[in-house]
Amino acid sequence: MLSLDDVLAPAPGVLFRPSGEELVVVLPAEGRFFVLNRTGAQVFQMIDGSRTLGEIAEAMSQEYQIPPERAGQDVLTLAEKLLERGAVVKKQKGSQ
Amino acid sequence: MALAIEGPEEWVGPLAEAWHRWKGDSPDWAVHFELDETLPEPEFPLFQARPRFEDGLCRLEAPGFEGQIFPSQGEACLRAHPSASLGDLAYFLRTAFALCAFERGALLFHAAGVVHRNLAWAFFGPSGSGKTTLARLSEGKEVLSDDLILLSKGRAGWEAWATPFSLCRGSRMVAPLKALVRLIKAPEDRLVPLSPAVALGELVASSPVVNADPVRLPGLFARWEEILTEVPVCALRFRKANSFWEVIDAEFG
Repeated sequence: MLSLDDVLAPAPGVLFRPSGEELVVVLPAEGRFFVLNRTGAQVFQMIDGSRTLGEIAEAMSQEYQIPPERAGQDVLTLAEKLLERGAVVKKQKGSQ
Repeated sequence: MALAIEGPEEWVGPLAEAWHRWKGDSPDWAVHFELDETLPEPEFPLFQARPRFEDGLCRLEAPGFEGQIFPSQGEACLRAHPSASLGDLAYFLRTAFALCAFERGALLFHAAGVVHRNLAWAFFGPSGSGKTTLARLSEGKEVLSDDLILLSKGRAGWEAWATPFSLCRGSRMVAPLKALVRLIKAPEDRLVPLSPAVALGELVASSPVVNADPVRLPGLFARWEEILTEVPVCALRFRKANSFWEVIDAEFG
């Protein structure tokens, strides 16, 4: 279970490519891919191993003028899916 | 595109027979097979092993098999237990062929290639999406392959080539590439658009071997993006009947 204090990073080897407003994410080790829509792509590209999910949610809340609680919930839902699919990894608190 | 195949006669003989149509005067790469009785007996077919890339080398390993492909040297070697099947050896050849093709500016593509009005239609999708079914239903048309075709850039544009890895019908080896069509089994025949991102993802996912290499992936994306500037892509919802060509003709003329 993730929280807004968690920090994620793209999983090693994962490659992504913008296509229009969408983002194609490929997991070479598993031969799988998926496509993120514009907002999903924005969140994924902010997952950089340093920003917390809360900071990402705040940025999305400001950009789309949506309540912080809803942005936080949306970011957490997407982050859980990305983690489940192996596209991101959770960074241990205090690690670089 | 041609590979020189060397190894024990009992292995190379049948493979060479299957490959004779693709045998060039000056092979691009050399593939060596070696019998190794010290290896354990194979536990599962080699096609279940995924290629691993490290330090410019591609490894294809499983119990009973130790395969290495050196793209920079144009060489590949598979040591295999004597009980290895021709299917295992062909899979190693396919892996080497995919890398060789990519290094030569071409692309091995998991798709059925059907020639219609002298143009090649590449029908792609994961296993079970209907490639073999569609090829079989395309009666009276030449089939370059029901599973794996080679895309290569010719003088007039991208071309689809037959490969030695799957069933073909007719003697045709190559035709200009008309369209890329993602197959979806459905109760009706209908062409539907595919978003550029989904198309790109599907096409990369349908590029065997190369899509497992993080180093080559950016180049693979770029190659598909180049192809997509010249060749249309869409999805075909089709039923198990020989009526989908009417839908394709209505759309493409």
